[in-house]
Amino acid sequence: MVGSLLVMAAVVTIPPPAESEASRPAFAATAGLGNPEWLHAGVHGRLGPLGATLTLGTIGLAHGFTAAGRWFLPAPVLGAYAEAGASLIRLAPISDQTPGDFFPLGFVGLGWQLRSERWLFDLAVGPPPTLLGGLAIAPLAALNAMALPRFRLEVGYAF
Amino acid sequence: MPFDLAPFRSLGGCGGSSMILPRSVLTILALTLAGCGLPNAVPGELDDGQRPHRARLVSQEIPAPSVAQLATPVVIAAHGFNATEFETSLAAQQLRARGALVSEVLMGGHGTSLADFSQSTWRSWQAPVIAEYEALVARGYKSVGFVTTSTGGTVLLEALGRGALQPPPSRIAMVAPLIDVAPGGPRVIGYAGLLRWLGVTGQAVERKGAMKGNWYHYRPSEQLIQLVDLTEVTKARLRTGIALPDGASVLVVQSTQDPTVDPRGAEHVRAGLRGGSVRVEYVESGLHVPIWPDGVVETFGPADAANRDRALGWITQLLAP
Repeated sequence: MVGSLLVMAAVVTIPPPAESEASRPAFAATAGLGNPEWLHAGVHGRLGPLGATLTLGTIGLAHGFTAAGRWFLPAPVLGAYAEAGASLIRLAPISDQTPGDFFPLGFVGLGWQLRSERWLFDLAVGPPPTLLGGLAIAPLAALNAMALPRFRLEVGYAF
Repeated sequence: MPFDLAPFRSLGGCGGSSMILPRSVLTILALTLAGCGLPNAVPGELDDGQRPHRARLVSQEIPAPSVAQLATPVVIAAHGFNATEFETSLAAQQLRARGALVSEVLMGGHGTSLADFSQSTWRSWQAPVIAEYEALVARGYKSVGFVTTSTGGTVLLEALGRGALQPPPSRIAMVAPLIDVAPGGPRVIGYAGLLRWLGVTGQAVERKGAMKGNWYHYRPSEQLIQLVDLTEVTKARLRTGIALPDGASVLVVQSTQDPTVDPRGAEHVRAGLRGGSVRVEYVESGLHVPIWPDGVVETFGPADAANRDRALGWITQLLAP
């Protein structure tokens, strides 16, 4: 929560990148915290107003792969975006009987991406993720994810 | 309580000390660096290994059963996570009073010492339950059923789901079977992997009254992770369906305000068992296990006593001769 407040403070104090810089093709490696990908690392790509992220994350007893698409809002709200995506949750093997199934969670959110030189700061929030597929008996990792709002707080480095 | 994670009150630190924690996951994460190896057992608690419990098994007490005994219904009582046979003792007592034979099993690693418990896995918890069933069937008992509480029901469902009980039992009573932990505090165990990485070795729970000496004071992180794995494996078995013999009868008793397991688990059991009849009875109660003996909870009122009588009545009706 403190981290979120710091980023929000940064949003209002750090000027957004110029239009020409914000919309150029970009690629960044990122790492951060989030729900459902509590500890994660991945890549961001952006071409004009469209962006995409791919991340691998873990909560210890489950791992996740997340893919999301983004649409960056036009000026004057540079850096703001809407996103939608899905996470595939897979339980971490504990015993020889641990289920190896994948459980898909869908999410939507709003975010803000700031860039300072090559550094990138990214915060996204949204309603709790939803289990896709109507599974009656969800794994605990999915239940926990669905009990919290979607969020992602990241730091990245652009190439 | 069997695995009263609802408060997730405290995390054990060195030397058995503990800290009171709010329910916030973030706060728990912030305090996780306190763990540093298993604590010394608190004197007077079950953990210290000075007062080990003993299973009471029909297979051992009656080595050469008579024809009449072989025709008598036998019930295997299986308790919950970090509890002992004390948890099911009232049901066992009433079943015996109605003429049934009862095996009171101690799940592996339970009822002895924290050292034993900290080495256990859900497979070792389950092993004595299966072993007693196999022993009774091998002796020729015609009717072997189960009464379980909480995680005792989970290990039973898992065993049924992979065909480990042959022939499958036809009479089962489960009280608060753990399928999912209750929303709120208990679900923190879903982050037990992260907490362990951060150095948390477990959770200390204050035991009072009859709980002292009958439940472990300390719950190691590794065993909480085992518990999560057991529930996930069991949920997978329920998703694919667990076959019961035709004519099998299953009773599920579930408190509507169970603070430990999600009451919806009863419906998951109903939906996942195939081939028999499943009867779910809800009781308006905030107790995790409404058939606990006296002294387990401090505030046990007339309504709790009435619920217990009803639940024990359903159980004996199903399992006693």
